[in-house]
Amino acid sequence: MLREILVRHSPLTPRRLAATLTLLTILLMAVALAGISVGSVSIPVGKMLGSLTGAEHLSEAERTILVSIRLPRLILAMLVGAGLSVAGLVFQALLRNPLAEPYILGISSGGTVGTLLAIAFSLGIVGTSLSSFAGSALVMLLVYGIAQRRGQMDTNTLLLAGVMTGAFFNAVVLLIIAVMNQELRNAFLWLMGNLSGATPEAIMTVGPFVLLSSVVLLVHAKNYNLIATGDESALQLGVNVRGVKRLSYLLGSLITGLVVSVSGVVGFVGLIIPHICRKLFGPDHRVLLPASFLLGATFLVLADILSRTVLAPAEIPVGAVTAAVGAPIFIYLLRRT
Amino acid sequence: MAGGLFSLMHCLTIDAVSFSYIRTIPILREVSCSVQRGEFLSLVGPNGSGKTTLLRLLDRIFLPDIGRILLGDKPIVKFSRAELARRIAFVPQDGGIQFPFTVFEIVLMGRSPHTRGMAFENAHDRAIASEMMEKTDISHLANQPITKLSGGERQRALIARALAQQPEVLLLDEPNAHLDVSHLMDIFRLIKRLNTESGLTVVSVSHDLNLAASYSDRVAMLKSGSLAALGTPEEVLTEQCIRDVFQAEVLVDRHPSHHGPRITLKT
Repeated sequence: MLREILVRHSPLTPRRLAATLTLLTILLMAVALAGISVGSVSIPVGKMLGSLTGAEHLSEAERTILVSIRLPRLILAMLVGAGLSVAGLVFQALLRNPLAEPYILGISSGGTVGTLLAIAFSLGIVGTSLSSFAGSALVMLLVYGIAQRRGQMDTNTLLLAGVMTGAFFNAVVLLIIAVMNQELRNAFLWLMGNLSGATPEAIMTVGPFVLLSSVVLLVHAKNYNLIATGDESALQLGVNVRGVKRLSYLLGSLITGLVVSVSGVVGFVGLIIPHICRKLFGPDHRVLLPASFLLGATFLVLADILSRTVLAPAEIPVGAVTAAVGAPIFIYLLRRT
Repeated sequence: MAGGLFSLMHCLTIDAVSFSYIRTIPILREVSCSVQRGEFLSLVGPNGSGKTTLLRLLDRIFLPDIGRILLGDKPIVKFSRAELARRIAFVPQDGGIQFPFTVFEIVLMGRSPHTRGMAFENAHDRAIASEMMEKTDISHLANQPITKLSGGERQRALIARALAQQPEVLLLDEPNAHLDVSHLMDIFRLIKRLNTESGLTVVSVSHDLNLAASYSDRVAMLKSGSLAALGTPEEVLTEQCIRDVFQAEVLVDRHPSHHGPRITLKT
């Protein structure tokens, strides 16, 4: 099976797609089990599985830790990883630039400002999500507008526009924090990319939209292949390019905004995962999209395990872990393109 | 009625079309022209005369400001995008593809207007893609990433993709730009053969007047957005006409093999 997946007989076949996704699902499940097993109180995987069949017995404390703490955190990690990877992949296809990514394009910072403002005005969880989405969408429009010149988009201009817009919005973040109260200082820490805010409410607010948006984007996977070869090419091959792009930018910003509102800025995931997937599975978005979703979820669960265990009992923000892995990959990609 | 016969013969009708990218700078002014079914029409003219723009309008990549374009007797705005893609194929100038799709994947994309939604290409689609790679002499490159190919090889892959659409009309934007002389002849012979044997209608933008002279049934010459001349190569590619439109002194005589006009620069 591994040979079938990795030896690239182009083009993609349904068989190879199925084999790839099966393997990635198994990988995700394995990592997820490890994710809820590891922590200050270690609960062996064998014991957890055994308790499901009645062969083993979990104590009340262990049960509480699993269900109320580790499971929500696991699900949140998977949503964040999957969502950011899919958003990154879609931005890369639309902009025809493998370096495009929610964090580098400043979209995450826009979401941060939206989130902070919502917290400052105590807008509640739904209001925070909406405000974060608005911030993300605003930055997306801004960066796109700045980078476009006479219908042409230059890679360097786009990246610099994103980084500078991000820097500006980060300054706004610091300003809000300086003006506002102590509560926001804690919020700031949380916005460095942290999964400790995992609550069932957060998951229920963000989860359905992230999943639904990903499914809608998946429907357009074939269109992204055509758009990745050029707008005129895609148009002449029958794609409603303008409509697909608008919908995709909107959903990409929605995913980013929602993810930021519950986890803060977790950078580079949308860069690392699509890049690895492209290396392993080729450039066809019909496999890249679901593969990035699954591998993104897997990656963030792993990153979360690291962030909880490396300096235990202290916790590193998960955004620091992803940046430590992602920044070198970005530089490598920059040298190559 | 005569109208029925008229629409049967006319494949593409350009009806008093005007277009500008920026309001104050008109690119095309009231161009009217019709392309017959199975005809090979070349669009020639100096840089900035509006040739490529006209070609884009024919595939609804842009919409005319004034006037309309018909495919058969139906305005192209009435077609769905996919329907149009099954009938008209446009070969853009090489835009530099960033992602390493293989040549086979690129050519197979030509089948997408014929496959539904998320469906995968079937054996029939693959067979057509293979056939077109064979015809454009890129079969040996099938598994190569398009990013690693030379300009001419990429050009041939894009032509193969357009042919895989199995269109009635093929629009070519300077297909000769990156091709070496041997592949240039191969590609034009192939297109001419599809044109004469299968009735493929071809509209080709070309900077090479001799190429236009040897393959076209008719030549349309544009000058700053207006149609300056339209007719057979003999009628259009004259010393007088080329002097007026291109401001170039040329010598036109008979080509020794195809007996059409042969254009030589005066030095």
